[in-house]
Amino acid sequence: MTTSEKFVKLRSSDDKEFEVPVKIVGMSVTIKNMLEDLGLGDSDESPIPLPNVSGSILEKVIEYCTEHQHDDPQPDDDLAHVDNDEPEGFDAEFVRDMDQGTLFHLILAANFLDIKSLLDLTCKHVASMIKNKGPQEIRDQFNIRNDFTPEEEERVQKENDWTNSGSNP
Amino acid sequence: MSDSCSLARGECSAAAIAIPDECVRTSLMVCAERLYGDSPESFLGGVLALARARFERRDGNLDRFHLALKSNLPCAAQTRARYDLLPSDVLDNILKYLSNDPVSLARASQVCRTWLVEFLAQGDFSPSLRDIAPLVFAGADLKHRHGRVAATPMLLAAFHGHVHALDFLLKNGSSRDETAGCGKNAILLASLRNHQSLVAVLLGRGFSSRDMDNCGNTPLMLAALGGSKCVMKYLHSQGACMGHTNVRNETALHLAAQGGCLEAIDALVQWCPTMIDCRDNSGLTPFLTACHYGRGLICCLFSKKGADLSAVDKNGANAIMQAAMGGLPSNGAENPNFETHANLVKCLGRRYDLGARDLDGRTAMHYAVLCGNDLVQQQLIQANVEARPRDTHGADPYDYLRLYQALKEQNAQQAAAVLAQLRGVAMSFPGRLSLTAAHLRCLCRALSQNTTVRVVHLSCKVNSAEVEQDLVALLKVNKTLRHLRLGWNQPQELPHSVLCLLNDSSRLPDLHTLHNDFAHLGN
Repeated sequence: MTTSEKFVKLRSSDDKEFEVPVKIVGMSVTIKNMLEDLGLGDSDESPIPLPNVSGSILEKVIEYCTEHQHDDPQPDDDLAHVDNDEPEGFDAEFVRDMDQGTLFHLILAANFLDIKSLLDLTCKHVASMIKNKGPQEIRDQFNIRNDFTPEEEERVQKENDWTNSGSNP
Repeated sequence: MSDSCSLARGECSAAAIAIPDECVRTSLMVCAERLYGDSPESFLGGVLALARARFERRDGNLDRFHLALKSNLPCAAQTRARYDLLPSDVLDNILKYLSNDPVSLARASQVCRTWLVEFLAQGDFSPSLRDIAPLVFAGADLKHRHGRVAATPMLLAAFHGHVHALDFLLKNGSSRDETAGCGKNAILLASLRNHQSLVAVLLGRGFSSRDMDNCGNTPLMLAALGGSKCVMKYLHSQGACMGHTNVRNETALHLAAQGGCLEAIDALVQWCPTMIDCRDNSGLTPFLTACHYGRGLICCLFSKKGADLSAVDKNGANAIMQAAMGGLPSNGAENPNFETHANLVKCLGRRYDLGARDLDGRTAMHYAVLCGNDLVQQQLIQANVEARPRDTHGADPYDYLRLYQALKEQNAQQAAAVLAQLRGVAMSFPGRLSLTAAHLRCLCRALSQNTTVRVVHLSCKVNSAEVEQDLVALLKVNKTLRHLRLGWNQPQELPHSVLCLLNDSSRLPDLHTLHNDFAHLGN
């Protein structure tokens, strides 16, 4: 081997182990902090435990990070710079046809691992699926239980009645 | 499980794989019942195991099996994902992408309690003074800001129309100057949400119908956007200014056209008929705005009210082109309903020349192709419109599309190849593009190898100062390029160093001579 690229082992909640270059896992602020602050991962024998992330989801996270390892770091969150562009290329393929369960767990993993670009991508995908849909359609799509009382629901509907006023032919 | 049982299952599985497709449903179920028993769990598991083996044998992998499962099982059966249980900071992140789409936001807030709380920051349904007063007197922080809109308790009360709560908070420490992140104060929020009685109270508490948010929108304008008919009528009766415009030079009627409320438009035209053909900074009239947002009924109403249906924007784009453009990223139109736009194009096509051209000679097809609206393209082709018209500069819709795609992929080589194949000497993109500084750097690299293109007009949000060095480097190498525009509504100011290089007299002739040049090239 000509290069001395450092690797770390990650262990998922279902005890699957992944050996990943440090540069790639460094996209996760959580793992980066573990490596820097706690000294985890220094030894090849001690995988970093990720009890909140299953093997299949971790595999997706690694796939995403591998593709984006050379990206410039994202600026801090700023309302004035919400990127509303449709995802393209790898990102578009990555979330296309993803089932709701995987998407849900990927969002949680991105949030837990603190990978901002992945969290943004998945949240933007959810937002795009919400757009132009009615409340019941959204409930059906995202497996959400309607927990309003009839009175509350009536009031909320009444307050938002304007959303149904002759907007489209 | 005994070995003999395993063996039997193995043999039967092999037999199940060979079942012909026409009788697979019945046969698989029979096999599963025999092999795994008839209890629901065992039977269902058996069918899945046999189907899995069948897919694996036939395809060599399980991709189609998993896809079939995902496609056919209801969400609730596939996963325990409960989107109402997402952490609040994640919901906040989703909200970020809905923040400029008030209709979707309001609909999503009606889904469940959690989303209502997070998306509209509405934690209670009817707070009474009995709920609030003890908290305030106990020293509750009235300046605490909640959610992404950063609203204080007083602003939340305004948003949700809690008259008594708001009145109490104003009297007990909340400041009337409080604004949410977007610069909206209490009366602006109440107007947007159609809380007429609250607006009346606020006008008596020192708020004004002339208050404005960061974009220069007044209460009447936001009421028009939100379709708040009662508030509009009330503000009109109180003498609110009808002709005010915001920073984009949009009137209340422009916002009503975006919001899509027929009654709001009807009332505004009645109160201020001269507003009907006012233009914003892009040259859009309210009628063109309605076309841009794909609002067919609103277009009909404007037609009946006598709006100028022949209006065009600053680029010369008419109603058809605006409707075909629906889908290009712009404020509030990131997620278009392509079908709606296609229907509008079909409807407008009876009145307009579908082959009409804008100031750069582009047709509705240029706009539709670039924004990826296949349905509009089909409509145009069915109407026998030329599929690959060339604009004044010689570029057809697919030249623009290929260059745009190359830039989005940051593939400078491909972008250079597209530019090299151009018949003309200019690229003037229709509509607004979602390009970043990185994309423009790619364009600079591509143009540095080009010796024919003299004009590039883009319409994007990138601050040209971000790419100043790249533009300077480009213009030092490329002596052909004469005219650059990057801006959106108004031509964006280029950095001084770039302008100096563009105005260098040693460069080739400018835009005025280009049409002659192109005609000459054509010969």
